[in-house]
Amino acid sequence: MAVVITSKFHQESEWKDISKVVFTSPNMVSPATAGTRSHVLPGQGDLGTWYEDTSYMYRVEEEQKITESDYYNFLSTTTMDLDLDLPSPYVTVTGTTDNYEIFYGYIKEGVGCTAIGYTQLSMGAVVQDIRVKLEYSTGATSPDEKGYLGNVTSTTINTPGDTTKDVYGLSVDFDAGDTHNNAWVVDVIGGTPECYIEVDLDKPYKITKIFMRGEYAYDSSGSSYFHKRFFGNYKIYGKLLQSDTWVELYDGANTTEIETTVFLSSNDKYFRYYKVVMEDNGGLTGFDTDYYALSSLQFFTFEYDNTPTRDKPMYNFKDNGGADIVYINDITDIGGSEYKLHISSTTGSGTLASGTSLRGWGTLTSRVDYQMDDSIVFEVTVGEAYNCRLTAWDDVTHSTTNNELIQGDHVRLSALAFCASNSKLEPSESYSPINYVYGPVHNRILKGNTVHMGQNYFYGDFDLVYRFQSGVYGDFLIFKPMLYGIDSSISYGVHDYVITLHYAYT
Amino acid sequence: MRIDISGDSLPNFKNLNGVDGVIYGRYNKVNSVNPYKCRFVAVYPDGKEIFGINLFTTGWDEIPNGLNGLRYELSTGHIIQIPKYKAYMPQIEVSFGMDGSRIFHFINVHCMAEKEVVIYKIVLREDQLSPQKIGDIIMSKQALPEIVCKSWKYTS
Repeated sequence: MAVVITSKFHQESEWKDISKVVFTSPNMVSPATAGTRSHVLPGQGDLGTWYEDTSYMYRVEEEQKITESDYYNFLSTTTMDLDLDLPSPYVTVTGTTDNYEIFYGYIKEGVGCTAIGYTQLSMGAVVQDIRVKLEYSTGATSPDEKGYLGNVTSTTINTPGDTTKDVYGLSVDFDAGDTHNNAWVVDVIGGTPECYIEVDLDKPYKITKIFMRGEYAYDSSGSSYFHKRFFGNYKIYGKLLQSDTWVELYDGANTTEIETTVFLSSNDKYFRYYKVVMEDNGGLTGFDTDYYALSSLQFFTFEYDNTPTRDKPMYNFKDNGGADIVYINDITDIGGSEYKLHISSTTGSGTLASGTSLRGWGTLTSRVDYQMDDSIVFEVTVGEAYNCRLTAWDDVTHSTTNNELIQGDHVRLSALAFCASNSKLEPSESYSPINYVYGPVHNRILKGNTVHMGQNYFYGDFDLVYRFQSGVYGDFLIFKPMLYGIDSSISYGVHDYVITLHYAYT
Repeated sequence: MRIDISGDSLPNFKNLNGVDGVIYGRYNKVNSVNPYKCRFVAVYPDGKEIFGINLFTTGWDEIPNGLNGLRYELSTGHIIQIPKYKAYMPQIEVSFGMDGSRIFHFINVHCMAEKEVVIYKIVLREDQLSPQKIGDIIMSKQALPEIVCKSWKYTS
């Protein structure tokens, strides 16, 4: 079957159609009319890459950037030799810290173990910092309830009493002798009722349940003095990086209960930063609505069973993009930051020596960490393309590399072949037998079919096939051509070259 | 408009006629078969012959199993007769340029024997750098496939 491959170009957060990729000097005002590209001339700018529509040229950059991100979210390092031909039932790994030490949960979820309950986080150990909205920090002046905020300006919330206590943990201090349970309490500022508490964790967690409790207090000397405080309407947000935008996870409202339990979607991602935004006290009944109060804040994660339902590939990428694959069907924490990965099968041959890196496409963000801007993606929509290879040639004969840019190692490319789930053009993890069709390369020099000292000067070879599995899309080939190291040493004149996709079909 | 990798345009071909075409480069000149005029011919025991379409859309996957012979007819007049094997799977090897240019390099006819796959690589272009000429055949072998796809067509 003749293969059908569609193409898209990603720029400024949009996928666009283009007809050509051309290379020229950017000595024209962008956007320029297609077909008016010129040669490098004295006194004019360096070469750049342009993507050409029929009537428009998308300018990329005059000084093109190499890619730096990896294409995988998890890395582990083997601590034993692994025979790929006759693999042992498991391989032990360590060094899983490069992505926030969530390796165990990542593998558990990756192999399809079922969530059977919740694990309570040790909040005192995992909470690194808490912040509240500034207006509420500086507003604390009196020594009574509002005085609880005395230390908030130093970013730490302390509760009153002889013992300093943070606002987290499952506090159930309702002893009769107490004047109140330990709590963070603050006036609601008229006109600007929104207040928030931000919680920084030591690493990302996939929080699936949150317990919160308001303040319930009374004066032990008499029954007339009574406090019942919480907050009414609120939202919960999360984000992975401090620089990320907050993602709304939950929109809730308290009414008459002094405590609430929030269940977050299992589809939510791993976040390191969480925020509870109190919007107002609307809907609260039986509470003193002049205050916001919180005495307990407890996070939970999923607890998984030991019944995996699918295999998870882990890859040993080779220099040229090929990979050995170790299919994992469970994980055991054996302590000392070391894990036992249970093996169902392997591909490849020979022995992976202890110390080999095994990489996986993770669920931390569920997106492959690819710098998509200025990249082109090919998608197979019908048939199969065999023995695919991306490379560069001098001209339309696709046969010579006699070109100043190619010979000078200026023509480069970063590429990745993959299948994905969720969305067609969003590189995200799939649980099909493979995630990576062919491993990633960064800034690979393109020079025809040259192989030198074990290094391929092309990207390939691999097969791209049309997938028709439910929720799995692809195959995709995404690549970012670039001109590297272009400066005034490049001679004046014509420097066109051609990037080609070499493939076979029936 | 997008990069039409699956189309059948040949903007880099010059002087394309019913026999062949020329592709001019800065340092090389390529003579190519006319890919619109090349096809397979599958022969069946009852004498029936099914003709392929061209090199862009071959039509190979639509033909039935049970063929008795296979040959390729190139636009240049070359006729390449493939000996009888258990099964065949021809693949068109092409390179597509991001500027829309296209070169047809080979037809790789995979032939399944008892213990191996024999590959007949039929050359579709000739230039000033490669010693092969149009119609030449380069033989090679590889291991039997672990998975047999539907593009393999079995002989009778």
